[in-house]
Amino acid sequence: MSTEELPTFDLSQKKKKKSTKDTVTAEEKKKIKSQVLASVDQQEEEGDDGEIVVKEERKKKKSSSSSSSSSSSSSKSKEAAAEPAAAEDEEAVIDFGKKKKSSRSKDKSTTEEATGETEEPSNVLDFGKKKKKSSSKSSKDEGDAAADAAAEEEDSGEISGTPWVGSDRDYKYSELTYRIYHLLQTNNPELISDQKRQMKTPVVFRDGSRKTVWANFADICQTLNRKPEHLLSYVFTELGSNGSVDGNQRLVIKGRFSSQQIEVVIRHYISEYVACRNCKSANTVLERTNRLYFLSCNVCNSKRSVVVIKKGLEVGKNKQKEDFHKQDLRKLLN
Amino acid sequence: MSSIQNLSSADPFAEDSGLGGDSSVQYIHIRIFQRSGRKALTTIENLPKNIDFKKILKYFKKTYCCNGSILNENELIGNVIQLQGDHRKEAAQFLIDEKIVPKNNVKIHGF
Repeated sequence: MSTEELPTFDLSQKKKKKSTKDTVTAEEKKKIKSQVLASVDQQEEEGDDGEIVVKEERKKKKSSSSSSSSSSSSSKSKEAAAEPAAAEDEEAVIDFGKKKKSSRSKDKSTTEEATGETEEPSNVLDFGKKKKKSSSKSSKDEGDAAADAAAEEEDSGEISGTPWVGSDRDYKYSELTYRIYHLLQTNNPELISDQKRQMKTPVVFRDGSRKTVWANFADICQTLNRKPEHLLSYVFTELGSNGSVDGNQRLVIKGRFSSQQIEVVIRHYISEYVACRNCKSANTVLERTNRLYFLSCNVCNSKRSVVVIKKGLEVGKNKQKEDFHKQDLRKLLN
Repeated sequence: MSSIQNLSSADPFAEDSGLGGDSSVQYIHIRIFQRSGRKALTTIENLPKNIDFKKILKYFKKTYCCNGSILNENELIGNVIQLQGDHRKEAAQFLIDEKIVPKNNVKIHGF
């Protein structure tokens, strides 16, 4: 998620750069610089606490610094044009570092070190690179003395709290969204994974020429948290067919059906009897009260009534039965 | 009672006039029944009573090049149009286009 989230965040920053490029004046630049320096001072103080954690990152930064130095030399030519942008960029990048730290400190406190530390460094490496670039840019503006500060800021950047600490400016929307996503990711990653719940595809194969076997029927019932009988009756009414469950919990349907066809039926079933209308979660329970079926959602606690599965006029079936009867009669007559 | 507008429209204690399904929304069920091999039957249930079934059946038979019939086996269900072959989508589209039923009230069953 973090990898997905980052580019969008960067984009927003770039957009901001473009829009602010014309408006950023020398005064504003100075302001930003002063803010940065102020925050740097703060971070230096806090830096001592977290040095143990940062050691790993330093190592990585050393390796990344070689690449960043080459990039900084290439960016020299662009420097004049990109100056206001660089200032903005720096601000943004510092935010990265600080946020990272906030989540890191949380990891420490909640003793999720095992997961937190393994996940973090990969992110940290990216951040470090970005920071190096911008900080090296800014260091040229401020002179060599500032370069040291910038270098230290890298390390200390990971330690401080929220980015707006130490400055009077308002929170930016992108910063806040980034923060919430990052916190979510580190603390409970399930919540932000917007992957759709994957359904198992029904395993369907033909048994002879007139019967279809649905092998993982019980499995699907379990994942949907529905009684097999309910799904069974729905499937049979929808397909206008009938059948039975065999010894291995497989469903045997009369007639020829392909896997896709069964899938469509399951889809309809889910939208009708499983998915919550309000929050669209599939974590629901079907319960029967007063001869009526109610679907209650475990996530949002909403409740709705559900249509009873109703068979239509069983035309084909009756006809088939009649045909069978006729055949039987003929056999008897012969 | 009648002075209150909300209550005058429908008598909640009246007999359920609906023919199956919800009494409030008259769903039209279009179902399919598989026969042998590629053959199938399409049934259209719960059509409004005031339409000319024979005319519609004739149209279906002509345009879809199929045979069909009007079934009236069960008094509760009423007239059911039965067509040979899978004509669920075309039939639903026709019913919607001719404004016999609103789009939301058509339910296509089956795969």
